[in-house]
Amino acid sequence: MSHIRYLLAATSVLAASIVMAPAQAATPKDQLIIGMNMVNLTSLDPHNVNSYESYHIISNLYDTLVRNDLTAPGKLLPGLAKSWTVQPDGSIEFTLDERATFQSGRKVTAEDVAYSFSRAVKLGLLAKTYYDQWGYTPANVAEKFIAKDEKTFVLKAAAPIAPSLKMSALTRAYAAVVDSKEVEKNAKNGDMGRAWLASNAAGSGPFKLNRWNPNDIALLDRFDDYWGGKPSMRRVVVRHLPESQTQRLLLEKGDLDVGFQLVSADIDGLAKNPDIVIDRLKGSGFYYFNMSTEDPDLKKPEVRRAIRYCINYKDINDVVMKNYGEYTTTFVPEEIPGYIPNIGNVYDPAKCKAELTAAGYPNGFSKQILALSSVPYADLAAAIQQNLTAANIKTEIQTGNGDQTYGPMRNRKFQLGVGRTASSAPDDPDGWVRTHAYNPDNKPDATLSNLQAWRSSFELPEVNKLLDEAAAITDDEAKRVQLYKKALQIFEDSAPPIIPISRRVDPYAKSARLINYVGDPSWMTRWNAVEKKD
Amino acid sequence: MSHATDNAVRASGRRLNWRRYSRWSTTLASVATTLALLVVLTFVIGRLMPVDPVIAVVGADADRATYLKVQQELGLDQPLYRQFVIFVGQLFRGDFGTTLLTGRPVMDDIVRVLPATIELATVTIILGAGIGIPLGVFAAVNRGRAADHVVRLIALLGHSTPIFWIGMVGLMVFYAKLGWVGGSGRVDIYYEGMTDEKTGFLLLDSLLAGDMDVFWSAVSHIILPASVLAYSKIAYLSRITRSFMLEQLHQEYVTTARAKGVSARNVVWKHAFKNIRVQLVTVVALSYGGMLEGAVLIETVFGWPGFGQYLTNALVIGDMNVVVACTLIIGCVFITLNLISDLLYKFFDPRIK
Repeated sequence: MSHIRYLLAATSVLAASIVMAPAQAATPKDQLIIGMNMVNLTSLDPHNVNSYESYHIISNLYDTLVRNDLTAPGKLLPGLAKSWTVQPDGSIEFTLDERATFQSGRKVTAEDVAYSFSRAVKLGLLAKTYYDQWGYTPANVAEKFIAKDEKTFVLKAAAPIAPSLKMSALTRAYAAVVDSKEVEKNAKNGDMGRAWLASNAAGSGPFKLNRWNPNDIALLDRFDDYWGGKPSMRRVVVRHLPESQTQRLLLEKGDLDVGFQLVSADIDGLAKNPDIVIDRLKGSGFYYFNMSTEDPDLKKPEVRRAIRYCINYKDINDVVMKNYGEYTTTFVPEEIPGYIPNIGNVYDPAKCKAELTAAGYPNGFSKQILALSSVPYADLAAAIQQNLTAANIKTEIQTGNGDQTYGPMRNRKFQLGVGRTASSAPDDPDGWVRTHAYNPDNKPDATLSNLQAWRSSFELPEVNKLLDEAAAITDDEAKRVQLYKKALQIFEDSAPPIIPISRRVDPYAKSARLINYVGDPSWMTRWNAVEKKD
Repeated sequence: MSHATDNAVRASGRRLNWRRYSRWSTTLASVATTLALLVVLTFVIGRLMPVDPVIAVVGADADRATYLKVQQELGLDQPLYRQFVIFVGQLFRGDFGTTLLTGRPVMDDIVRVLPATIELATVTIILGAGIGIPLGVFAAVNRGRAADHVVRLIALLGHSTPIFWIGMVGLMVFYAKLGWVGGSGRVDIYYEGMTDEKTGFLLLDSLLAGDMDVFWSAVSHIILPASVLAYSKIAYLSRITRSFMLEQLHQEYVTTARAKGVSARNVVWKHAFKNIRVQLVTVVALSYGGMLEGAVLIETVFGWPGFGQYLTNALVIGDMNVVVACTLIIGCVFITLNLISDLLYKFFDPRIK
């Protein structure tokens, strides 16, 4: 009996401790507490990441040559480079800021920049997608990435690409500058720090990496000697919180300063709270609906044209895509040069049926739609399914994870699908048109799987030619934009198999106590200027 | 004592010794067979999973060359039997390989996540057994009366309500509304990383470091998930204790004890309960073992960085090394617990002595 008594006594002591536990306080004034689902944060190697979660942390550990001006889209601010000039041959010469210092105490040199850029190309890391497009190969980097002197870096042109396109891409994590000495010190078998940089950092950014436990937590400490000025936050804690509801509770209690990946209901709930600010960042891509032209029915332009009339874009955006996207009709958004009003999507159910009948399908057909099982993809697919049913097109929705849904689309083995794109150059028409309309090689073994047109087996040689021509123009901005416009018009007129449904919006919630927390639409958000009210 | 008897005693002694050896060797052989089967099975499961681990590493949009390169790096281009030989070799060296995603040693990750789960499971089992067992005894003694019905109703509710729902509601009431307990995680987020990790058990580490703020924060964070988990354990243990007890209370020795005038309390605890201890030990041990697999739903709801979440994430992305390592560890935990409860049987059950 006595041991049972002890157990009961211990239990009541534990229960009593709930009451004794100190009351919850708001987050400390000198710490920034961020919650997000960190499942996609798989590496901290700036040259080998493709998730926005990673960008967030990397952009505070490292510096890039230039930064986006968040108050004026398309405008660039100095970063490690205090100035830059474009040479007549398309080369860009950067002059580095002499104050710039790595966290190791070394000055940032042009050698470090050349090393960082070459590293991505030589190791074939994810960043190489950019460098590939610009004509850089492991064989030519030594003569294209040049450290002219300690403070002058020259990015020689290797292909006819407009320097402005490169400049805007150089703001991304991909172009972060690493401390070459520090990396080489930790390199194994000449891997240029591939293994080490995946979970360590060697940058010049305002915060130092204290600890990163995957799917758990990332702790960053202030770099007191940051060359751009000492940050106010002593510490930044990024906590893995996979449940939207949990993040909402923590935000409402003041235990969390910023929350990401919230579901629509929680965003609506938090929006009513005066202590919380919902910031809706306009993302650089679309939620889309695509068709494979390998399919014998969808191969016919008449059918694809008819289907485009079947979808109720406005309602879908108001209901299903609320908080995730904005109504759109075509592939270049309004604020980007090259936008054409009134082309693309039109909802007209009568015309949809009539055109399907004219195409020889009065009784429709049956197809399968692939969709990620997460929000909002599955709901988006269901809404489209409903619209198509009204036109006698029967669809079955197949949901799954990335491999199961994007996988078949990348391998061109699908009929219909929904997904989300990201423009390769957010402030330039090139990125927007290219991602969706460009397909220079329609052969199955070309594996241009990051080009949407290739995935749909859809090739318009004329559009390809216009885009190549436009990208090579370096001196006539108006002419360049005109070419993109022409390409977009041709693309939209040819019953494209890719239909934009919503302009992507990335919402997040932040505490009203935060000052200067400015979200970056490319998720290169910086924390060094963040302060907190009492 | 005659020679004949002497020989007979020696012979029977030898037989006894032999039987003991044979019992031990049988146990050892069965443990070894189970382990070997476990190794084969985990390898097969790991290789048969319908996910492409290479895509998980290189990302959705990587080109073919990168894909092939990574495939080679991971040894996934080798024939299956070679992959198995490599696998067994690594196990003998205590090397579970690296995680596909982060390239870190799997063992390091497990050493990090396991204490979180053990801590939660231990507090849970203390609460669950500490309340559930007496409750079951109480219900059995009061069989058919109101008290019995109340206990059975509690048990039924605990058994049939989804645990993540109770967790969610618990958070909303006790954390969000009342502010009695901490929210998500093992400690208030701003205390994360403040205490030196000596053992990985936060309650212990913070006490050792004398960091009482962190300790109380950790207590306030563990109490709710542990209570929610304990509720379903209470439900289970009270039901099973009740039925074990009922069986004993109907035995003749209980009637005899009563007839001899032994007090009601002593009849229940000294006589009847003593006889169900053995069975209860097994049940509690297996229950505890079950929790060491991690309580995925509760870990997700409470943002508890434990074993369950770690394994589930690995399953979702097809991180084979992690899945294999975790499965092996869970298997070993159960084999060990079975061994321990076998030993405890001997301790508690005079017939086995």
